[in-house]
Amino acid sequence: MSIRVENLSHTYNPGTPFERCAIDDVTFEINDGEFVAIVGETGSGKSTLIQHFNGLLKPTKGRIFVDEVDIWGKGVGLKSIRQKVGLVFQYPEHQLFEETVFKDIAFGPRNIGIPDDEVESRVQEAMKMVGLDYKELRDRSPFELSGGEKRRVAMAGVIAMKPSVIVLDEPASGLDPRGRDTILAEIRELHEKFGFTVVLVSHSMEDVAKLARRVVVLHKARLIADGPTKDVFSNEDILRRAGLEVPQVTRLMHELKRRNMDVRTDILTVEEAKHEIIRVLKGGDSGVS
Amino acid sequence: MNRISDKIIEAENLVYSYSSDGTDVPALDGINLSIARGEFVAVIGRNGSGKSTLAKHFNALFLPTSGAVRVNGMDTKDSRHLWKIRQTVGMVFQNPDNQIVSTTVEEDVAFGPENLGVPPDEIRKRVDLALEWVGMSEHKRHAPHLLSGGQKQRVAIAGVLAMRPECIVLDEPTAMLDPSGRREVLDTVKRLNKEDGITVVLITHFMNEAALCDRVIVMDAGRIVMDDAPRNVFSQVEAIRRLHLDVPQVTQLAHELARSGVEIPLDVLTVHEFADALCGSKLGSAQSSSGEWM
Amino acid sequence: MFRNITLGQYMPGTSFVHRLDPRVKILITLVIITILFMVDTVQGYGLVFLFILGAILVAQLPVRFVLYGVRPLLFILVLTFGFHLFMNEGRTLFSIGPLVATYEGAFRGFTMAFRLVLLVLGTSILTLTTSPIELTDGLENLMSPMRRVGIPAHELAMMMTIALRFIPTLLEETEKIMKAQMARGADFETGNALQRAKSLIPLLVPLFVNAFRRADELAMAMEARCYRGGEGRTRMKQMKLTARDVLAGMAVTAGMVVIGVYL
Repeated sequence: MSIRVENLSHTYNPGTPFERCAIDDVTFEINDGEFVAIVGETGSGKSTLIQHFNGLLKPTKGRIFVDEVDIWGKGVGLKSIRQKVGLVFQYPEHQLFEETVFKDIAFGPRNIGIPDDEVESRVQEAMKMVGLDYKELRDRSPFELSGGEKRRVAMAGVIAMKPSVIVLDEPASGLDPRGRDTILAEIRELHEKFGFTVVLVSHSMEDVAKLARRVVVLHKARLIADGPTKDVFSNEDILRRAGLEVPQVTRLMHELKRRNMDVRTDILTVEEAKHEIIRVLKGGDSGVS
Repeated sequence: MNRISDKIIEAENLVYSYSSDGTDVPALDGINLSIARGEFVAVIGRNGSGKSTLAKHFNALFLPTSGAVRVNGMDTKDSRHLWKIRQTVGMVFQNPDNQIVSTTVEEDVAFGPENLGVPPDEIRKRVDLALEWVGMSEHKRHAPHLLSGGQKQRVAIAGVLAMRPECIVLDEPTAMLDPSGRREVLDTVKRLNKEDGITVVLITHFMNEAALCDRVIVMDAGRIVMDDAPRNVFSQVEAIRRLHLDVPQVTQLAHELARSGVEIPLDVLTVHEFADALCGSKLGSAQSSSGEWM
Repeated sequence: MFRNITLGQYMPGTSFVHRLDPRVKILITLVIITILFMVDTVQGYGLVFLFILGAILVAQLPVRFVLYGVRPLLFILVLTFGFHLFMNEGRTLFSIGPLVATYEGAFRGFTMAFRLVLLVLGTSILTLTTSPIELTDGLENLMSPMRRVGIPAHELAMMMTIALRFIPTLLEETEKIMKAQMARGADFETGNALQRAKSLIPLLVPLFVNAFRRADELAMAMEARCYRGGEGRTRMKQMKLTARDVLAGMAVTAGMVVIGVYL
């Protein structure tokens, strides 16, 4: 499943004193099977952009194609688009409402007319994918679960609709380090094991570095960079301009380079940094003074 | 003011339990701790470790089930001192939206001093000064809901400053912010500590933030399990991991390199320290570490 | 969808109207409302309309934007007009079956609808030029003599402040939850009345849960900042009546009384 964004612009409150352009002429494409990160600071237009992917917002200008179908074209059902492109909002636990975990996760599948027996198997499957115990939790109230569990229930609610693309807005925000690692590992699994196309919105560059192979950078409503994570992150200026920070190890490699150590700067994780530093030290051609 | 000691906050055998389904669950289980005037202390720990509950004891929002908490020698259980304690120890919370009371920035900053019965002219002065301190003067007539997260948190800090506190406790103030918001808030707090001598207790999930404090307190299951300089805390990579926490990436990298036989100190915390250690020079270390919150 | 509400919004400014004492503005608004229920002639309405139009111009508000505020009332206006059109006796204008529209009805309907428009415009000048905080302060101050008869002026004003502070936040949240449920295939627009009411549950439950959580956190934040009710509390901004306020109040009141009595 691909999503193609063509010359998209979105203006809030047009024609009033509160008019604000949130997306300004953005064009790019998310291909089937990709893991793409969309990064940018608050107010850069990320949230507005992703709400166009499943037709929650209508473009002021430009078009959105899901699987080459213009989603605002004649005869296109938005419900089917929303089934194909699953959107998990930030702090999704704030949207839980049912009496039981089962019913809450079943809400989506039921809305799109899935028969009851299939709903059950879908809920079961979705809970398994996000690491929730079906038997133990299905009849519990979602409101008495822990923060991390609530968030998983909300994610399962989207997964149970069997989308081919999952868009996640800051899925790890507010979690402690372990909670963060766990949820990110699950998202990686959704991509690698279950084959979802994943779009991750985040302002943690360390998380993006660990997961995404491609990064799209938004700044002040415009797309200012789009490319493989390594390329984008080795250009510190672009991220700085967008109000973001490269991961600490990437910054370290830049600093070492500045001090005449002959290291590569397209390093994204601790593991890569380790190998690179050892390579340079063993190679003997180090700039170590 | 009769200052009993240089300790601003002291907790003695502090136990706090709440009842859940009829049984008493201890959220804090025998905390002994003292925080000195002017310190910059980080409190870390996984969710549910009790760090937020502990913070709320520092200005009498919660009262100990047993044991005692003293602020400038005043027992928080003594209701005569309640307002003095809350004026002495100000508190900034995680969600910027849920702590701003008023519909304009300056009115919100005035809220605390108004409650304390400060005369109007004096409030005006304090509000202007506090907003200047946090760099929000030009937004003083704005509506809070139009500000960014970092700006809202700075308004919340100004609201506390206007009460002329000696200590500020911040309960995960950056959890909901983006990197530039986090930087704004942390730079502000750091400056208040260094230039104004305000004691800071920072509760956080971000290890890079804790690494830049004077002292790190690690909590787990309602107890303090480590309490030391960040260098000594984070160099215990395995122990920190077992507590479901992280260490800064460079500290982790130093450990992995050491394990592969590279000679490097295990207690590096920042990019510059790491580079100094590896390159053996102080080149470029004139750059301050304040940019390394992330 | 909620971003388009203009009614009750505040537009910062420094005009003469903006700078008037909020108490004076509240009283003037009350006078206008009273007069609107007294006048009964075209000239009367015309003069009040001219006054309101003048006030909008003096306040330097964009006229079109202010008029937009009337839009949500369109349905009620049409209903009012229709009701009077057919329910008055007099010379027949036209008839649909048993319903007879009259000239007198058309006139009454028009004046009643116009009265509503003027009411909305008059009050929106107040809210557009007076910050919520001034408005609540003004109300608290005007109500404070009533404390003696047991009306909690401070508490009411504080409630209003908090309500005004959180309206934008809650509207934003409503929109967000609505979208989140729509992303899960929820449908808030189609179906019969019962189905539509039922479809609101996924919206209302989280909204209330979140509002309670917010209230809880806000209460704690207020306590942490030493809030303990109105007792012993001072205010940063003291309201002072200036000669300008008094004169403006008197002039408008006098003018309105003349309109009310003679037209």
